[in-house]
Amino acid sequence: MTNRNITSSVVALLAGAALWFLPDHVRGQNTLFAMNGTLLPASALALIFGLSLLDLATSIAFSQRSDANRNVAKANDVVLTRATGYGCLLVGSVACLFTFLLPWMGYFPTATALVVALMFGTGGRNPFSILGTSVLAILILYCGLRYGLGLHIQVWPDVARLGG
Amino acid sequence: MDALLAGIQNATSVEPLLAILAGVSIGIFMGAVPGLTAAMAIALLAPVTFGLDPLTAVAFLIGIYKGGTFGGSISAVLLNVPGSPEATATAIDGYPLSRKGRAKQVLQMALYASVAGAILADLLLYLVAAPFSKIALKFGPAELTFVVLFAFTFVAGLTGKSMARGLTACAFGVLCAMVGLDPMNASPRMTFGFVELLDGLPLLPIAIGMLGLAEVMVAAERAYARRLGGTKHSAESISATSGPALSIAEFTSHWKTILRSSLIGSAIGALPGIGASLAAFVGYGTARKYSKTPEEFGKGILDGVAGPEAANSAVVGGSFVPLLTLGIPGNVSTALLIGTFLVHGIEPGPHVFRSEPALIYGIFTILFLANFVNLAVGLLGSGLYSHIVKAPQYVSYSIIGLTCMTGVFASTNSLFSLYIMIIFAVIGYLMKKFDYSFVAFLIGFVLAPEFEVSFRSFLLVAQGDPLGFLIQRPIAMLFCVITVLSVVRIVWTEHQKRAAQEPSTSASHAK
Repeated sequence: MTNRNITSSVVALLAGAALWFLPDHVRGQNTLFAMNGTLLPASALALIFGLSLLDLATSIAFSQRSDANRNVAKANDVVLTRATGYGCLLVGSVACLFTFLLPWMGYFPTATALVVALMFGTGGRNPFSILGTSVLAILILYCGLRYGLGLHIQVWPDVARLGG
Repeated sequence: MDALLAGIQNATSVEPLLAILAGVSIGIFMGAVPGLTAAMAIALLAPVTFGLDPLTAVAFLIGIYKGGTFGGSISAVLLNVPGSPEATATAIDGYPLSRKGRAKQVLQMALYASVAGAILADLLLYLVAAPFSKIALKFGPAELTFVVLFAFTFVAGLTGKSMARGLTACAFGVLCAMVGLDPMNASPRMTFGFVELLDGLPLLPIAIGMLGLAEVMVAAERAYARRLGGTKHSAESISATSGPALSIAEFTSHWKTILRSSLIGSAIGALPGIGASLAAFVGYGTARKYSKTPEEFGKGILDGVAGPEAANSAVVGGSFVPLLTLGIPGNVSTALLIGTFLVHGIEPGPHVFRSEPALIYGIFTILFLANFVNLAVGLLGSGLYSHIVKAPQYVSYSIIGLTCMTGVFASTNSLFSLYIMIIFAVIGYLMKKFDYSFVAFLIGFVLAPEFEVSFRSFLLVAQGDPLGFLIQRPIAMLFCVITVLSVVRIVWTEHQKRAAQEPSTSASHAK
């Protein structure tokens, strides 16, 4: 089973489950595929479900026809490495932390932490360059927002909120 | 006539002109830095335009779109790393020529061909858009349903490696757009108890997450893989000012290639889903086909730069034909432009030609003016941009990450939007990994609300006999047939590709 086929299976499974539970999440008249609010979401989910199964079936049929085809399917497969997880996890967690801390810590500290973490995570190693660039970028962006567009962002930690 | 004059007057006032200048400068920068694209810049900077008047906002975004299309060629020519996907064909002959000491000439050819291609495409847009909008005014729910359905299938079939995955992505886009209030009876759908979702999922956090933040994830992945593998890009970088300048005689000697590629680019741009990258390769291939010295292609020839650059820039004008006349975006950039138009109360489509002709002529004027600003900024700034493209990737990507987060928060003032952006960044990253087309997703997302209303109205009007009703509507029928034919054609092409792969592999294994 290739990673592509696993993805198709997961997508089909999720679409099938979503289709099953869809009426619970549509208020009012919610009979599936009737002339109501479920018509298009249900059609989209049914299409995703059907197409994912079709993709899976054609891929399995292709790779079972011969050994050579199996090798082609393996060669064309999506390679998932530790780097894949790293990219997703690093940026996702740093962005979530930024969002979580922003109301407490303010823009300057959280943005600096975000840029420093991203620079380090994407290959930067020189601490002076990392700090200098991040401070400069944040200041430029802040000035653009504050004085260019007149937007107000809380820049420093909210002491009252931190103190409880 | 009054509308034309008013449009020109509005577009030539100070604010739109400054906005074009700023947009083109940013667009060239974003296009020039490998990995960053004009579409990403439009997504990141669209929130900035919300406070501006509609024409100035449109001028800024058109400037980015135009500048970004040329910008990609700078790093393609100087580093052999295309700044944007559509500049890949430019690198084939641009980089070898630069290595021969003709970098200045190549960059100027890329710029002049881009500007010439864009001007020709804008002229065509001007000629075609108004008459086409008159036809489009006759479109009812049936026609709109099948035009949008055609756009869905065409985009889904052509923007990914597999039609099934393209359609899946498009259907997912449609599904995401269904979150919020049902447009026909205002009852909530798939809001999961979140009040913030009653207005639906917001376009910009989704687009910024999938285009910007997902790209930062890719950069982090690459950095990790580089650290493990210890690999470094070894292309030699060249100064933008090395070698002689391009003479007018040299430029005009390539007029046939530029004209041909401009027409190709305009036609491809007008079709949804095909995009500038393919236009550039078709432009390159056609230039080679009609060249007296086809054997020189790949070794370094100016025709090999003029062809793709004129074609990919002409796509911009071409893509405005379905955008302005039908309200259908053909690529990511125009999908984002639609989102911004809607924020400013402009609903692209045939009615806008009648309701706001001054605005339409203003947009046409801006499209023209942006070409000349592109020329000026490109000529004066290519030396500076050539230094910027050599900046380390960790600097550009982390600043992109910061801009994504700040931009979404500043424009929505909501932490909820930030979480939506992060979720869609992860989805976008996985979609990219597994060949689910992001373009198809976005086109599905943007067009779904209009599609739902026209589809349900069509079913209501048809009174239980949609086929019988369809037969009475020739334009809708035509689009229905084209949709079926294009699906058959794309599926057949995919089947042939797969069949061609089989025997060659079997033969190689037999050896």
